[in-house]
Amino acid sequence: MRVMGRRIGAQVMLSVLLSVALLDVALVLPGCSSANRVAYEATATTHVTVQEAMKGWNLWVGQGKATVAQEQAVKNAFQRWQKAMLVVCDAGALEAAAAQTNMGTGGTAGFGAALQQAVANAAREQADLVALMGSFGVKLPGS
Amino acid sequence: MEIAELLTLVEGVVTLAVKEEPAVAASLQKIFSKPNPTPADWQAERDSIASETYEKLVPNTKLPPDSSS
Repeated sequence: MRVMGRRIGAQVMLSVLLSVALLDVALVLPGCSSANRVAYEATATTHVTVQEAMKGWNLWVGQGKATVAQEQAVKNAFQRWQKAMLVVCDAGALEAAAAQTNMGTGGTAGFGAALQQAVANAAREQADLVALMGSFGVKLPGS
Repeated sequence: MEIAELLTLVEGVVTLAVKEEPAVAASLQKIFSKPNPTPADWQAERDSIASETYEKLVPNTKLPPDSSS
């Protein structure tokens, strides 16, 4: 049981640290010509790490530690994050298409600005999702 | 947080990911191997995210399948 709890903690820790760090990098490099690449890396990495966090949540639920109401709250938060990520992908596809035709905005205006805003929104939704899990007792870094 | 600190943090976390979850490491390697993501890359990521459901990710769930609010 202790090993499983440690595993959950490690998975959630990876989710938090990886996504926060990469999303921060994406947000502080708005004028960089590789904004599209950084946003893609942040998005895809966030996706992977949320999957890991959800695996941890699945273990937590399997141990009978989550109530139905808590599960519903996490499900709702997951779906909000999912919607936010779809917006990021749409904005990213537009930015990538613009870059291919030498109209890349470099993240400073137009599609680039939309991509940055979408990434920021997704980061907020992800933070809410992870914080919610933490509030229900899943071990988080520093908790 | 400074960029250098962020990159150091990412490096440390990725190292931890490789140690904890080989599958995560493989996924990360694939992600970071794309120097210039195309619209198709973004679309593939979108399709992957859209295909996921809470029930698929949390098979231990006690919620009914259509419990979205």
